[in-house]
Amino acid sequence: MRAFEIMVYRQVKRFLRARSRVAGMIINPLVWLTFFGIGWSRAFRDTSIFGGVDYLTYLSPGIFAMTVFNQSFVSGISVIWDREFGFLKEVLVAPASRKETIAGRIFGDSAVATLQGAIILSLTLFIAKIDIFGVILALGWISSCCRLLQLRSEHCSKNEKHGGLSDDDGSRDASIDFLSGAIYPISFMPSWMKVLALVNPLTYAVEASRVLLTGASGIFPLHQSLLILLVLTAVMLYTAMVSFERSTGMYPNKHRIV
Amino acid sequence: MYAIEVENLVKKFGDFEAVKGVSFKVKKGEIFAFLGPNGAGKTTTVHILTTLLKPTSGKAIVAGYDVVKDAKEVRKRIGIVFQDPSVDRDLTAYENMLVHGGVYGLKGRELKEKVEELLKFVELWEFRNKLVKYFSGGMQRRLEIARSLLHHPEVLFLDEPTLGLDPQTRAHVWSYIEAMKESRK
Amino acid sequence: MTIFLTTHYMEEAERLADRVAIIDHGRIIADGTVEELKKLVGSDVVYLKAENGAECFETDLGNCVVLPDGRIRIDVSNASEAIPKIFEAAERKGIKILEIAYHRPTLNDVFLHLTGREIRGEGGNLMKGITRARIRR
Repeated sequence: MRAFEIMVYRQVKRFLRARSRVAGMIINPLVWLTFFGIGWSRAFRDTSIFGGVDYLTYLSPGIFAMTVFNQSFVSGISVIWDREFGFLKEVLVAPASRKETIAGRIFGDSAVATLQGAIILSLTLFIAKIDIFGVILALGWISSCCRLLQLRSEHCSKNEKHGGLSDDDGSRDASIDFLSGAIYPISFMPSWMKVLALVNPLTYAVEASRVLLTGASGIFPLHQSLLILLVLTAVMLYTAMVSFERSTGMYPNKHRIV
Repeated sequence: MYAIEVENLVKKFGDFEAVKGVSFKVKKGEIFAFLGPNGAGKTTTVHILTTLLKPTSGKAIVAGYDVVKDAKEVRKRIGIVFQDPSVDRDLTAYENMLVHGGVYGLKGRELKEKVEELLKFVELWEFRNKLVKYFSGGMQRRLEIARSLLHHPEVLFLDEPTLGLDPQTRAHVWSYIEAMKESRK
Repeated sequence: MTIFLTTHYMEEAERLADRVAIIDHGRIIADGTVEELKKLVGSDVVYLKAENGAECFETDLGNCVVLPDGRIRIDVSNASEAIPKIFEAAERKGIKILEIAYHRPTLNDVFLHLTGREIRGEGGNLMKGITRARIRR
C-alpha cells in the first residue's frame, strides 16, 4: 500500500504548491455564483421553474458539481503532463504495482477535488439555502464520482499526443456545463438538447447534488442519479486502471514508450 | 557472477531494426559503457534491460532475472537515470526523494537517513527545500543520480548521464560516478 | 553495484568505464577494456598531409589509411621514432609534407578505425585545429 499512499501525498502536495491555480479555482466559481447567480436570481421571481427554490440556490449545486468536475478534468490532463515530463517512466521502472500507483493517483486527485468542493460549498452556505447535512453527503458522493473524467484522461494517454487539449484550466468544452442542467433546467431544453444532456455524465452529478443540497425536486429520483453515477464511476475507474496498466506496459511495436 | 547477460538481443520497430543481435556480459561490480553515436541503439538496449521495452527476440538477464519473464524482480534490483529529465518539477528535491523512496516501498527513519546521506553526497542538501523547477540542468541530474541510488540497486543504468551539460558540470557529474565506483563493494 | 552507462562522449567512457562496447547501427563492433580497444589502432596515431595528393607512401611503419578528407593516417608503435622515418621516406620520394601531427589513440580513433566515421564532431580534431591555424597564418 506504500505506493498508493505516496501517490496521494504527491498529488495533494503538487496541488497545494500551485497557489495561483488554487486561488483561481476557488475564485472562478465564486464569480459565477455572485455575478451570474445573484443577478439572475433577482430576475427570476418564479421559483416553480427551478423546482421550488430560488435561482441562486438552484445554481449553487450546479457550480459545485462543475468545479469538482473541472478539477478532475485538470488532473486528468496532468497524467498526460507526467508522461511528457518523464515522471511516469520513473514510476514504470519501479517494482510497485501499476494498478496501485494509478489508484493512489486517482484517490489523491479526488481528495483535491473534494477539498475544493468543500470550500465552494461552505461559501454557498452563506448565499444560498443549502441543507448542511446534504453538504457532507454531496461531498462524499459527488466528489468521488467525478473521477469519471479519468475516462477522458485515459483516452488522451492512449492517443500519446495531447493535440487539441490545452493545459489551460478554462478552455474545457463549455457545452458540458451548459448541457448538465447546472445553469438552467433540463426540462426547458428542446428534445435534441435533452438527449445530449442525458448522455452527459455531469448531468447526474448536478442532479444528485441538487437534490441532496437543496431538496429541490430533480428530474430523476435521487437514488437513480446516484446509482447511475456509481455505476459509471466504477466502470471508468476500472477502465482507467486496466488501460493504464496496458498502455504503460511493454509496447511490442512502438518506437517511443513514453 | 554476471550482473547483466545479454544474448542475441533484437529489437524491431516495424521495419526498422534498432538492435540487431547484440550479445555481451557485464561482471558484477564493473562499470560497463556502451559507446556509440546517436541512434546506434543504446537507449533502446537500456529500455529493454530496464523492462520498459519488450525485445523482439533474444534474451536478457539482469541481476539474475529475465527482463521479460521476471520483470518485477528485475525492477526491484535496478536503478536508472534516464536520458531525458524525469524529476517532479513541482516538488522540492527532498519531496522528490521521498516520493521515489515510497514507490520503492521505503519508509520511516531508514528512508529519511538515506535521503539525507544521498542529498549530501550530490551536494544538494542545502537546496533540499527548493522546488526542482528552479534547479539548473546539472542540479536536476545530480538529484536524479541521488534518487537512483536510494533503493540500493544492484545494477544502475545511466543513459547518457551528461548529455546537454556544459563541460564543467559534466566533470562534476563524473566525479560523483567515480566516487560511487570507489565506494562500491 | 554494477553500472551500465551509455554515452556518445568518448572521454566519458574512457574516464569512467572498466570495459567499453562500441555500438554502431544496432551492432556491437568492438568490446574490451579501453586499453584493449586502443590496441586495435596501434599505440600512436600519426596524421599527415602531403602536397602532392593523398597516397600511402610509407607503409613499413604501420597500418596506413587515406582518410576521406585527404589526410593520411598511419598507426605506429612509437610516434617520436616514426616521424623522422616518415620525413626521410617522403624526401626520398620527393613528397613534400605540409603538416604532421600525432597523438595517443583515443576511443574516437578506434571508432574511426572500425567504421571510417567519427563518433561525433568532437574529440580527435587535433589535425583540423592545426590545419585551420595554418590557413589563417
